[in-house]
Amino acid sequence: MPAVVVVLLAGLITALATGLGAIPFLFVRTLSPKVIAFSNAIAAGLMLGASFTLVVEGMPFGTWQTIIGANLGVAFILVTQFLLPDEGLEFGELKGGGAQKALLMVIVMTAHSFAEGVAVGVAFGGGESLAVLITIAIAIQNIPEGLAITAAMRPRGASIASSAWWSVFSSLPQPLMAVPAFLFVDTFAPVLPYGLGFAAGAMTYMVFRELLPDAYADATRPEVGLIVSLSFTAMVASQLLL
Amino acid sequence: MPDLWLVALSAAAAAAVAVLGVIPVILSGEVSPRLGWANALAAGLMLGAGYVLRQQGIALSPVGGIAGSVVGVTFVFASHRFTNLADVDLSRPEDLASATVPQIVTRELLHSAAEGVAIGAGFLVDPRLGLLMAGTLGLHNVAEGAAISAALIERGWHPTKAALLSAGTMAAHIPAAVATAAWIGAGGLPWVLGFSAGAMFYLILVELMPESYRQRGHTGIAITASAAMSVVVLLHAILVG
Repeated sequence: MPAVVVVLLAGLITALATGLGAIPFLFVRTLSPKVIAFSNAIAAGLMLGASFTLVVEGMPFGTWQTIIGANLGVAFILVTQFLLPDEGLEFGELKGGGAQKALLMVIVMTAHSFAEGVAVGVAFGGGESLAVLITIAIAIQNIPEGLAITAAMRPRGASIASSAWWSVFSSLPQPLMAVPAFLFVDTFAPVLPYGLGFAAGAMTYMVFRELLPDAYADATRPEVGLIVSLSFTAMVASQLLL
Repeated sequence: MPDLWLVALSAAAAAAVAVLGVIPVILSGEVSPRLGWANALAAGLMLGAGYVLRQQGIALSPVGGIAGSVVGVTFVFASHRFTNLADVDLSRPEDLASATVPQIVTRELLHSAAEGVAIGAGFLVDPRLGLLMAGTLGLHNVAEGAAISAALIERGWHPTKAALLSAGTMAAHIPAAVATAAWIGAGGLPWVLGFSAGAMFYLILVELMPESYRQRGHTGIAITASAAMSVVVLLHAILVG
Protein backbone atom coordinates (compact mmCIF):
# COMPACT_ATOMS: atom_id res chain seq x y z
CA MET A 1 0.00 0.00 0.00
CA PRO A 2 1.44 3.43 -0.88
CA ALA A 3 2.63 5.43 2.12
CA VAL A 4 0.18 8.26 1.36
CA VAL A 5 -2.79 5.88 1.56
CA VAL A 6 -1.49 4.53 4.86
CA VAL A 7 -1.28 8.04 6.28
CA LEU A 8 -4.77 8.88 4.99
CA LEU A 9 -6.30 5.69 6.42
CA ALA A 10 -4.50 6.22 9.70
CA GLY A 11 -5.90 9.74 9.87
CA LEU A 12 -9.44 8.51 9.10
CA ILE A 13 -9.28 5.92 11.86
CA THR A 14 -8.13 8.56 14.32
CA ALA A 15 -11.00 10.85 13.26
CA LEU A 16 -13.59 8.09 13.76
CA ALA A 17 -12.17 7.36 17.20
CA THR A 18 -13.11 10.91 18.26
CA GLY A 19 -16.78 9.89 17.99
CA LEU A 20 -16.24 7.31 20.75
CA GLY A 21 -15.94 10.20 23.16
CA ALA A 22 -19.73 10.59 23.04
CA ILE A 23 -20.29 7.09 24.49
CA PRO A 24 -20.15 7.99 28.22
CA PHE A 25 -23.12 10.29 27.62
CA LEU A 26 -25.26 7.27 26.67
CA PHE A 27 -25.26 6.50 30.39
CA VAL A 28 -26.21 9.99 31.50
CA ARG A 29 -29.96 10.07 31.03
CA THR A 30 -31.02 13.30 32.67
CA LEU A 31 -29.23 16.57 32.04
CA SER A 32 -29.79 18.31 35.37
CA PRO A 33 -28.14 21.72 35.92
CA LYS A 34 -25.50 19.95 38.04
CA VAL A 35 -24.69 17.43 35.27
CA ILE A 36 -24.44 20.32 32.80
CA ALA A 37 -22.06 22.22 35.08
CA PHE A 38 -19.93 19.09 35.60
CA SER A 39 -19.85 18.45 31.84
CA ASN A 40 -18.61 21.98 31.23
CA ALA A 41 -15.94 21.50 33.91
CA ILE A 42 -14.79 18.21 32.35
CA ALA A 43 -14.60 19.84 28.90
CA ALA A 44 -12.67 22.78 30.40
CA GLY A 45 -10.09 20.50 32.06
CA LEU A 46 -9.63 18.30 28.99
CA MET A 47 -9.20 21.32 26.70
CA LEU A 48 -6.73 23.06 29.04
CA GLY A 49 -4.80 19.77 29.20
CA ALA A 50 -4.75 19.50 25.42
CA SER A 51 -3.60 23.13 25.13
CA PHE A 52 -0.76 22.49 27.57
CA THR A 53 0.49 19.57 25.45
CA LEU A 54 0.15 21.58 22.22
CA VAL A 55 2.33 24.38 23.63
CA VAL A 56 4.91 21.87 24.93
CA GLU A 57 4.94 20.34 21.42
CA GLY A 58 5.17 23.70 19.68
CA MET A 59 7.90 25.37 21.75
CA PRO A 60 10.85 23.31 20.41
CA PHE A 61 9.85 24.39 16.88
CA GLY A 62 9.86 28.07 17.87
CA THR A 63 8.97 29.95 21.07
CA TRP A 64 7.89 33.23 19.50
CA GLN A 65 6.00 31.46 16.76
CA THR A 66 4.05 29.34 19.29
CA ILE A 67 3.18 32.37 21.44
CA ILE A 68 2.23 34.53 18.43
CA GLY A 69 0.08 31.63 17.22
CA ALA A 70 -1.62 31.40 20.63
CA ASN A 71 -2.52 35.10 20.65
CA LEU A 72 -3.77 34.84 17.06
CA GLY A 73 -5.94 31.93 18.23
CA VAL A 74 -7.49 34.12 20.95
CA ALA A 75 -8.05 36.94 18.44
CA PHE A 76 -9.59 34.50 15.95
CA ILE A 77 -12.23 33.32 18.45
CA LEU A 78 -12.95 36.90 19.53
CA VAL A 79 -13.58 37.95 15.94
CA THR A 80 -15.58 34.80 15.12
CA GLN A 81 -17.72 35.30 18.21
CA PHE A 82 -18.29 38.93 17.23
CA LEU A 83 -19.31 37.93 13.71
CA LEU A 84 -21.60 35.05 14.72
CA PRO A 85 -25.05 36.39 15.61
CA ASP A 86 -26.44 35.59 19.07
CA GLU A 87 -30.01 35.57 17.87
CA GLY A 88 -31.48 33.54 15.03
CA LEU A 89 -28.43 31.28 14.60
CA GLU A 90 -29.20 27.61 13.95
CA PHE A 91 -26.67 24.82 14.25
CA GLY A 92 -28.05 21.29 13.83
CA GLU A 93 -30.96 21.06 16.25
CA LEU A 94 -29.68 24.01 18.31
CA LYS A 95 -30.87 27.59 18.14
CA GLY A 96 -29.74 30.97 19.54
CA GLY A 97 -27.03 31.33 22.20
CA GLY A 98 -26.59 27.56 22.66
CA ALA A 99 -26.07 27.20 18.89
CA GLN A 100 -23.43 29.94 18.92
CA LYS A 101 -21.44 28.30 21.72
CA ALA A 102 -21.70 24.79 20.22
CA LEU A 103 -20.65 26.07 16.79
CA LEU A 104 -17.70 27.94 18.32
CA MET A 105 -16.69 24.76 20.13
CA VAL A 106 -16.71 22.77 16.86
CA ILE A 107 -14.76 25.55 15.08
CA VAL A 108 -12.14 25.60 17.86
CA MET A 109 -11.73 21.83 17.92
CA THR A 110 -11.57 21.69 14.12
CA ALA A 111 -8.83 24.33 14.09
CA HIS A 112 -7.06 22.22 16.69
CA SER A 113 -7.27 19.16 14.42
CA PHE A 114 -5.73 21.09 11.53
CA ALA A 115 -2.69 21.75 13.72
CA GLU A 116 -2.62 18.17 15.01
CA GLY A 117 -2.91 16.84 11.46
CA VAL A 118 0.18 18.80 10.45
CA ALA A 119 1.97 17.49 13.56
CA VAL A 120 1.03 13.91 12.63
CA GLY A 121 2.18 14.34 9.03
CA VAL A 122 5.48 15.89 10.06
CA ALA A 123 6.00 13.07 12.60
CA PHE A 124 5.22 10.39 9.98
CA GLY A 125 7.67 12.13 7.67
CA GLY A 126 10.38 10.95 10.01
CA GLY A 127 9.79 7.28 9.09
CA GLU A 128 6.96 4.80 8.51
CA SER A 129 8.02 2.06 10.90
CA LEU A 130 6.10 3.50 13.84
CA ALA A 131 2.99 4.22 11.74
CA VAL A 132 0.67 1.71 13.43
CA LEU A 133 1.77 2.68 16.91
CA ILE A 134 1.36 6.40 16.20
CA THR A 135 -2.10 5.82 14.71
CA ILE A 136 -3.28 3.86 17.73
CA ALA A 137 -1.84 6.51 20.04
CA ILE A 138 -3.56 9.39 18.26
CA ALA A 139 -6.85 7.49 17.98
CA ILE A 140 -6.88 6.92 21.74
CA GLN A 141 -5.82 10.49 22.37
CA ASN A 142 -8.75 11.70 20.24
CA ILE A 143 -11.35 9.96 22.41
CA PRO A 144 -11.12 12.47 25.28
CA GLU A 145 -11.26 15.27 22.70
CA GLY A 146 -14.58 13.81 21.49
CA LEU A 147 -15.62 13.65 25.13
CA ALA A 148 -14.77 17.35 25.49
CA ILE A 149 -16.88 18.29 22.46
CA THR A 150 -19.81 16.15 23.61
CA ALA A 151 -19.49 17.48 27.16
CA ALA A 152 -19.77 20.99 25.76
CA MET A 153 -22.50 20.29 23.16
CA ARG A 154 -24.86 18.05 25.18
CA PRO A 155 -25.60 20.69 27.84
CA ARG A 156 -26.57 23.08 25.05
CA GLY A 157 -29.22 20.69 23.76
CA ALA A 158 -27.41 18.65 21.08
CA SER A 159 -28.31 14.95 20.80
CA ILE A 160 -25.67 12.26 21.46
CA ALA A 161 -25.67 11.24 17.78
CA SER A 162 -25.08 14.77 16.57
CA SER A 163 -22.42 15.37 19.26
CA ALA A 164 -20.66 12.19 18.04
CA TRP A 165 -20.92 13.29 14.41
CA TRP A 166 -19.52 16.75 15.12
CA SER A 167 -16.73 15.14 17.14
CA VAL A 168 -15.75 13.03 14.13
CA PHE A 169 -16.18 16.04 11.82
CA SER A 170 -13.88 18.15 13.99
CA SER A 171 -11.13 15.53 13.57
CA LEU A 172 -11.45 15.17 9.78
CA PRO A 173 -8.79 17.85 9.14
CA GLN A 174 -6.31 15.46 10.75
CA PRO A 175 -6.10 13.07 7.76
CA LEU A 176 -6.61 15.96 5.31
CA MET A 177 -3.66 17.89 6.72
CA ALA A 178 -1.53 14.86 7.64
CA VAL A 179 -1.12 13.78 3.99
CA PRO A 180 0.25 17.05 2.56
CA ALA A 181 2.33 17.60 5.71
CA PHE A 182 3.78 14.10 5.31
CA LEU A 183 4.56 14.70 1.62
CA PHE A 184 6.01 18.18 2.09
CA VAL A 185 7.57 18.04 5.54
CA ASP A 186 10.01 20.86 4.77
CA THR A 187 7.20 23.24 3.77
CA PHE A 188 4.95 22.45 6.71
CA ALA A 189 7.45 22.17 9.55
CA PRO A 190 7.99 25.98 9.86
CA VAL A 191 4.21 26.59 10.09
CA LEU A 192 3.76 23.94 12.77
CA PRO A 193 4.51 26.06 15.90
CA TYR A 194 2.08 28.78 14.72
CA GLY A 195 -0.61 26.16 14.19
CA LEU A 196 -0.06 24.41 17.51
CA GLY A 197 0.01 27.76 19.35
CA PHE A 198 -3.10 28.94 17.49
CA ALA A 199 -5.05 25.86 18.54
CA ALA A 200 -3.86 26.14 22.15
CA GLY A 201 -4.78 29.84 22.37
CA ALA A 202 -8.22 29.30 20.81
CA MET A 203 -8.99 26.42 23.18
CA THR A 204 -7.73 28.26 26.27
CA TYR A 205 -9.79 31.34 25.45
CA MET A 206 -12.86 29.16 24.86
CA VAL A 207 -12.37 27.61 28.31
CA PHE A 208 -12.07 31.02 30.03
CA ARG A 209 -14.84 32.70 28.07
CA GLU A 210 -17.50 29.99 27.88
CA LEU A 211 -16.87 26.72 29.69
CA LEU A 212 -15.64 27.89 33.11
CA PRO A 213 -18.33 30.55 33.67
CA ASP A 214 -20.99 27.98 32.71
CA ALA A 215 -19.44 25.45 35.08
CA TYR A 216 -19.50 27.92 38.01
CA ALA A 217 -23.15 28.72 37.32
CA ASP A 218 -24.51 25.49 38.83
CA ALA A 219 -21.64 23.80 40.67
CA THR A 220 -19.76 24.85 43.79
CA ARG A 221 -16.26 26.24 43.33
CA PRO A 222 -14.52 23.24 44.96
CA GLU A 223 -16.49 20.92 42.64
CA VAL A 224 -15.37 22.89 39.59
CA GLY A 225 -11.81 23.09 40.95
CA LEU A 226 -11.56 19.34 41.50
CA ILE A 227 -13.20 18.27 38.23
CA VAL A 228 -11.18 20.69 36.08
CA SER A 229 -7.91 19.83 37.88
CA LEU A 230 -8.44 16.08 37.61
CA SER A 231 -9.60 16.07 33.97
CA PHE A 232 -6.67 18.38 33.13
CA THR A 233 -4.25 15.96 34.81
CA ALA A 234 -5.86 12.94 33.13
CA MET A 235 -5.53 14.59 29.71
CA VAL A 236 -1.87 15.52 30.25
CA ALA A 237 -1.09 12.04 31.63
CA SER A 238 -2.82 10.26 28.74
CA GLN A 239 -1.01 12.37 26.15
CA LEU A 240 2.30 11.75 27.90
CA LEU A 241 1.70 8.00 28.02
CA LEU A 242 0.90 7.94 24.32
CA MET B 1 21.54 24.83 46.31
CA PRO B 2 20.20 28.31 45.45
CA ASP B 3 21.19 31.34 47.54
CA LEU B 4 18.80 30.98 50.48
CA TRP B 5 18.99 34.67 51.35
CA LEU B 6 17.79 35.54 47.86
CA VAL B 7 14.98 32.98 48.20
CA ALA B 8 13.93 34.44 51.57
CA LEU B 9 14.12 38.03 50.32
CA SER B 10 12.06 37.31 47.21
CA ALA B 11 9.43 35.46 49.22
CA ALA B 12 9.35 38.29 51.79
CA ALA B 13 8.95 40.92 49.06
CA ALA B 14 6.09 38.94 47.49
CA ALA B 15 4.40 38.78 50.92
CA ALA B 16 5.05 42.43 51.82
CA VAL B 17 3.28 43.88 48.79
CA ALA B 18 0.03 42.44 50.18
CA VAL B 19 -0.17 45.61 52.34
CA LEU B 20 -0.84 47.58 49.15
CA GLY B 21 -4.17 45.79 48.91
CA VAL B 22 -5.56 47.93 51.70
CA ILE B 23 -5.27 51.13 49.62
CA PRO B 24 -8.18 50.50 47.23
CA VAL B 25 -10.25 49.30 50.19
CA ILE B 26 -9.63 52.57 52.10
CA LEU B 27 -10.34 54.63 48.99
CA SER B 28 -13.58 52.95 47.98
CA GLY B 29 -14.72 51.44 51.29
CA GLU B 30 -15.08 47.98 49.74
CA VAL B 31 -13.25 45.39 47.65
CA SER B 32 -13.34 47.37 44.41
CA PRO B 33 -14.65 45.44 41.39
CA ARG B 34 -11.58 46.82 39.60
CA LEU B 35 -9.62 44.20 41.51
CA GLY B 36 -11.23 41.74 39.11
CA TRP B 37 -8.59 42.84 36.59
CA ALA B 38 -5.78 42.24 39.10
CA ASN B 39 -7.28 38.82 39.86
CA ALA B 40 -7.54 37.88 36.19
CA LEU B 41 -4.03 39.13 35.51
CA ALA B 42 -2.74 37.16 38.50
CA ALA B 43 -4.72 34.08 37.37
CA GLY B 44 -3.17 34.27 33.90
CA LEU B 45 0.34 34.87 35.24
CA MET B 46 -0.02 32.02 37.75
CA LEU B 47 -1.38 29.69 35.06
CA GLY B 48 1.60 30.59 32.88
CA ALA B 49 3.97 30.04 35.82
CA GLY B 50 2.17 26.78 36.63
CA TYR B 51 2.63 25.73 33.02
CA VAL B 52 6.38 26.29 33.30
CA LEU B 53 6.66 24.45 36.64
CA ARG B 54 4.57 21.52 35.40
CA GLN B 55 6.57 21.25 32.19
CA GLN B 56 9.85 21.28 34.12
CA GLY B 57 8.53 18.67 36.58
CA ILE B 58 7.25 16.35 33.85
CA ALA B 59 10.51 16.71 31.91
CA LEU B 60 12.43 15.52 34.98
CA SER B 61 10.03 12.69 35.84
CA PRO B 62 6.57 12.25 34.27
CA VAL B 63 5.34 10.18 37.23
CA GLY B 64 6.63 12.65 39.84
CA GLY B 65 5.34 15.68 37.91
CA ILE B 66 1.84 14.26 37.46
CA ALA B 67 1.49 12.60 40.87
CA GLY B 68 2.91 15.71 42.55
CA SER B 69 0.25 17.87 40.94
CA VAL B 70 -2.50 15.57 42.24
CA VAL B 71 -0.99 15.93 45.74
CA GLY B 72 -0.96 19.74 45.28
CA VAL B 73 -4.64 19.83 44.31
CA THR B 74 -5.51 17.55 47.24
CA PHE B 75 -3.51 19.71 49.69
CA VAL B 76 -5.36 22.93 48.85
CA PHE B 77 -8.73 21.15 48.66
CA ALA B 78 -8.13 19.60 52.09
CA SER B 79 -6.92 22.89 53.61
CA HIS B 80 -10.07 24.64 52.41
CA ARG B 81 -12.21 21.84 53.85
CA PHE B 82 -10.25 21.95 57.12
CA THR B 83 -11.04 25.64 57.59
CA ASN B 84 -14.69 25.19 56.50
CA LEU B 85 -14.16 27.93 53.93
CA ALA B 86 -14.20 25.74 50.84
CA ASP B 87 -16.85 27.70 48.98
CA VAL B 88 -16.32 31.15 50.50
CA ASP B 89 -15.49 34.17 48.35
CA LEU B 90 -13.78 36.66 50.68
CA SER B 91 -14.50 39.55 48.35
CA ARG B 92 -18.27 39.02 48.67
CA PRO B 93 -19.89 40.62 51.74
CA GLU B 94 -22.56 37.92 52.16
CA ASP B 95 -19.89 35.19 52.24
CA LEU B 96 -17.78 37.15 54.69
CA ALA B 97 -20.44 37.20 57.38
CA SER B 98 -20.04 33.46 57.92
CA ALA B 99 -16.21 33.47 58.15
CA THR B 100 -14.35 34.05 61.42
CA VAL B 101 -10.95 35.77 61.60
CA PRO B 102 -9.09 32.60 62.78
CA GLN B 103 -10.68 30.67 59.89
CA ILE B 104 -9.60 33.32 57.37
CA VAL B 105 -6.07 33.51 58.78
CA THR B 106 -5.64 29.70 58.80
CA ARG B 107 -6.89 29.38 55.24
CA GLU B 108 -4.58 32.16 54.03
CA LEU B 109 -1.57 30.74 55.88
CA LEU B 110 -2.00 27.30 54.25
CA HIS B 111 -2.70 28.93 50.90
CA SER B 112 0.43 31.10 51.05
CA ALA B 113 2.58 28.20 52.29
CA ALA B 114 1.63 26.25 49.13
CA GLU B 115 2.59 29.29 47.05
CA GLY B 116 5.87 29.59 48.98
CA VAL B 117 6.70 26.03 47.87
CA ALA B 118 6.23 27.26 44.27
CA ILE B 119 8.74 30.10 44.83
CA GLY B 120 11.27 27.67 46.35
CA ALA B 121 10.72 25.15 43.54
CA GLY B 122 11.25 27.91 40.97
CA PHE B 123 14.62 28.78 42.55
CA LEU B 124 15.64 25.13 42.49
CA VAL B 125 15.20 25.05 38.71
CA ASP B 126 16.75 28.46 38.03
CA PRO B 127 17.05 31.65 40.13
CA ARG B 128 15.37 33.63 37.33
CA LEU B 129 12.38 31.27 37.44
CA GLY B 130 12.26 31.77 41.21
CA LEU B 131 12.19 35.56 40.78
CA LEU B 132 9.50 35.22 38.12
CA MET B 133 7.41 33.11 40.52
CA ALA B 134 7.87 35.63 43.37
CA GLY B 135 6.86 38.54 41.09
CA THR B 136 3.78 36.71 39.84
CA LEU B 137 2.67 35.74 43.33
CA GLY B 138 3.37 39.27 44.60
CA LEU B 139 0.88 40.65 42.11
CA HIS B 140 -1.66 38.04 43.17
CA ASN B 141 -1.03 39.03 46.80
CA VAL B 142 -2.16 42.62 46.22
CA ALA B 143 -5.65 41.41 45.27
CA GLU B 144 -5.56 38.81 48.04
CA GLY B 145 -4.45 41.48 50.55
CA ALA B 146 -7.39 43.66 49.50
CA ALA B 147 -9.88 40.85 50.16
CA ILE B 148 -8.42 40.03 53.59
CA SER B 149 -8.12 43.71 54.60
CA ALA B 150 -11.71 44.36 53.60
CA ALA B 151 -12.82 41.37 55.66
CA LEU B 152 -10.95 42.64 58.73
CA ILE B 153 -11.93 46.31 58.35
CA GLU B 154 -15.55 45.16 58.10
CA ARG B 155 -15.04 43.59 61.55
CA GLY B 156 -13.82 46.89 63.00
CA TRP B 157 -10.07 46.45 62.53
CA HIS B 158 -7.93 49.52 61.92
CA PRO B 159 -6.76 49.61 58.26
CA THR B 160 -3.06 49.56 59.28
CA LYS B 161 -3.53 46.47 61.44
CA ALA B 162 -5.63 44.85 58.70
CA ALA B 163 -2.93 45.52 56.10
CA LEU B 164 -0.20 44.16 58.36
CA LEU B 165 -2.14 40.98 59.14
CA SER B 166 -2.74 40.47 55.39
CA ALA B 167 0.99 40.64 54.75
CA GLY B 168 1.58 38.55 57.89
CA THR B 169 -0.49 35.63 56.56
CA MET B 170 1.43 35.84 53.28
CA ALA B 171 4.69 35.62 55.23
CA ALA B 172 4.16 31.84 55.23
CA HIS B 173 5.76 32.15 51.78
CA ILE B 174 9.15 32.65 53.46
CA PRO B 175 9.62 29.43 55.51
CA ALA B 176 7.92 27.36 52.81
CA ALA B 177 10.14 28.78 50.05
CA VAL B 178 13.36 28.51 52.06
CA ALA B 179 12.59 24.97 53.30
CA THR B 180 11.81 23.85 49.73
CA ALA B 181 14.98 25.42 48.33
CA ALA B 182 17.15 24.03 51.16
CA TRP B 183 15.84 20.51 51.60
CA ILE B 184 14.46 19.26 48.31
CA GLY B 185 16.96 17.14 46.40
CA ALA B 186 16.98 16.04 42.79
CA GLY B 187 14.66 13.10 43.50
CA GLY B 188 11.99 15.25 45.11
CA LEU B 189 12.19 18.14 42.64
CA PRO B 190 9.69 16.85 40.03
CA TRP B 191 7.23 16.14 42.85
CA VAL B 192 7.61 19.63 44.30
CA LEU B 193 7.29 21.22 40.86
CA GLY B 194 4.15 19.18 40.20
CA PHE B 195 2.81 20.01 43.68
CA SER B 196 3.24 23.75 43.09
CA ALA B 197 1.62 23.61 39.67
CA GLY B 198 -1.33 21.55 40.94
CA ALA B 199 -1.87 23.72 44.03
CA MET B 200 -1.79 26.96 42.02
CA PHE B 201 -4.07 25.52 39.33
CA TYR B 202 -6.67 24.56 41.94
CA LEU B 203 -6.39 27.94 43.72
CA ILE B 204 -6.93 29.77 40.45
CA LEU B 205 -10.04 27.70 39.78
CA VAL B 206 -11.64 28.06 43.21
CA GLU B 207 -10.62 31.61 44.05
CA LEU B 208 -9.24 33.84 41.32
CA MET B 209 -11.35 32.97 38.31
CA PRO B 210 -14.82 32.93 39.92
CA GLU B 211 -14.03 36.14 41.81
CA SER B 212 -12.81 37.96 38.74
CA TYR B 213 -15.77 36.79 36.63
CA ARG B 214 -18.12 38.16 39.26
CA GLN B 215 -16.23 41.45 39.45
CA ARG B 216 -15.61 42.07 35.76
CA GLY B 217 -17.69 39.81 33.49
CA HIS B 218 -16.42 37.16 31.09
CA THR B 219 -14.85 38.52 27.90
CA GLY B 220 -12.34 40.98 29.41
CA ILE B 221 -11.32 38.46 32.04
CA ALA B 222 -10.83 35.71 29.44
CA ILE B 223 -8.66 37.98 27.27
CA THR B 224 -6.61 39.24 30.24
CA ALA B 225 -5.98 35.75 31.60
CA SER B 226 -5.06 34.26 28.19
CA ALA B 227 -2.70 37.14 27.35
CA ALA B 228 -1.04 37.11 30.80
CA MET B 229 -0.49 33.37 30.50
CA SER B 230 1.35 33.76 27.20
CA VAL B 231 3.49 36.60 28.63
CA VAL B 232 4.86 34.38 31.44
CA VAL B 233 5.54 31.45 29.12
CA LEU B 234 7.38 33.80 26.75
CA LEU B 235 9.27 35.53 29.59
CA HIS B 236 10.40 32.17 30.90
CA ALA B 237 11.56 31.06 27.45
CA ILE B 238 13.51 34.32 26.99
CA LEU B 239 14.98 34.52 30.51
CA VAL B 240 15.66 30.88 31.26
CA GLY B 241 15.47 29.23 27.82
